[in-house]
Amino acid sequence: MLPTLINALRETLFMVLSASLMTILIGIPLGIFIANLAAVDNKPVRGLYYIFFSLMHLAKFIPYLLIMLLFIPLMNWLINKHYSYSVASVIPLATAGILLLAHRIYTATFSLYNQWQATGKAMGASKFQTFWLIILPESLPEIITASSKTCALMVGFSTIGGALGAGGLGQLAIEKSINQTDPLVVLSSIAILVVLQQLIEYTGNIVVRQTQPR
Amino acid sequence: MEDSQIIALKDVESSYTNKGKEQLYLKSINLNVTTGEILAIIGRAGAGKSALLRCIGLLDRPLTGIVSIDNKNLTFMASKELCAARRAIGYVTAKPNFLGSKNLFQNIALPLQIQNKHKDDINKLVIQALTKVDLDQKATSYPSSLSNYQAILADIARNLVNNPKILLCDDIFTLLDTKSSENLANLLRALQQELQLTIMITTNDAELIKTLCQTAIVMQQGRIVEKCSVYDLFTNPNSDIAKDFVRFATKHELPSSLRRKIVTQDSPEHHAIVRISFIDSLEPDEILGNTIDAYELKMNIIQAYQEKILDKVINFMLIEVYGANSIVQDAIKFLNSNGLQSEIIGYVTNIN
Repeated sequence: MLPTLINALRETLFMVLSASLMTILIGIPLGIFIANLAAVDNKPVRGLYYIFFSLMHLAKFIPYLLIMLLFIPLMNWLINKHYSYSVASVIPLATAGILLLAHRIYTATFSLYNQWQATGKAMGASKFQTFWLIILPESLPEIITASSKTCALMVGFSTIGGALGAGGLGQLAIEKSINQTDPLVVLSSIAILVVLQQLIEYTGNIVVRQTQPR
Repeated sequence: MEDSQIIALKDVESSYTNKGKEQLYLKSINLNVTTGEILAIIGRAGAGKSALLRCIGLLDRPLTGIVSIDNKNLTFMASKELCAARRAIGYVTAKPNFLGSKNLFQNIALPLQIQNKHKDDINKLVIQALTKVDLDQKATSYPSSLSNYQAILADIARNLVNNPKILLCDDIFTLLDTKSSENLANLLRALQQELQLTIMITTNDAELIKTLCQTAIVMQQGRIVEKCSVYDLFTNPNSDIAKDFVRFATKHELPSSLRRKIVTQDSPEHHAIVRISFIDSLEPDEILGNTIDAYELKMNIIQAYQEKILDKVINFMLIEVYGANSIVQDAIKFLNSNGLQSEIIGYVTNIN
């Protein structure tokens, strides 16, 4: 039992960590970028902004299982190129994560932009300085919280991937619970998943506390 | 005179877009401000008071027209130069923003950090600014622990480190209690004296205008309808909006018993009600008494009170005059020519 659990955990960790890495590296800049776009009064830029904005919104409302179904052709293509199921499932995972995180970052920074625009200008700060010296430090706690929450969400998403054969603890739990052969494995994989989510959120909270001086 | 002009607006118009429609909120603004003046901008909500300040601070670029600060045309400046030019213009709001994760000292150092100043310079300037607004004890506390009044002081300090020539104050007195308001007014006066600051304040507080400001700008629907000295604003307002303001703000309102009876039509059995205002340096008793005697009139004082505007004391008097209308008119002309500003505000048959 233990070797199967450890093997499944390794697959889950691989999926969650690689997707989280991509989410953070792309999602945060994307969210900030869109918040910047929102302030520009220019037709083509407005168009670009609305495209991104609707994508971010859709990602919030479409259940993850359906997002994954959309990616089946791409995943098939990857599997035909001899990538493993886990690697292929990272792509929809990262896509959903990026859009969700971008939306959270956008919300956090956009209100700050409105609030600080006049103050920044009056101080004699350029747009970049306003962002770098004011918006970024002010929104940092919110950015970290949003990132850790989104990464914790990825753990849940990765188990949904298990239903389509992506491997990991999700697939293990699904198989064993359908066969009803090994309730202990089902329960322990659920326990591990819960602990994993808690661990990620907890880490986020600690980092936030480090950035706050009080 | 040309070189002492710090702010010059020429035909400035400004607009905002609301649901795809462009709407003007500043219309053909022409304004010249002399260095070292303290100006009050008055007007109803939505008259464009804040918009005017934002326009002068170049926070919004005007649609048309020219904004010159300190003889430099800022309207077409490139963004980089504009950032530097904006440092000469301080902008204080009623609810200032501070970085919540930095303490007061770091917050006030922010404008200097933006200019990449040396650390020692930053230290010196920030402590200097904090001492000026009497917040040096609070340097290490966090913005969330500041009261409303202290937050405004801190915002002023943050503007002072840039060594501004102009301080634009957007409604900073509204949320303060009387004592804080008075302290803040004293601070602004001291800063104006010490640094030759030009200060513009949007407010509708008559007491404040009387004690702090020298010039008043009256705005209505995006236009400047009147620019006059504060003294003139209270004694001789021209525009309807200024008259309204003065009437509400001071005791110019007639006693209610009189207000019900007053009519604008003259007839032989009516007597004129005359309002007279004059500064303290005159000897009104003599002039008024002599005039009444010379024109063979009789008078009855209804109301008399004093008002202090800047360093002048102004007396207001409401009298009832018995006599033929044409003679009363002549007497009023005579009073006006002798420095007692008088006008007939109506007629009554019997004030009781």
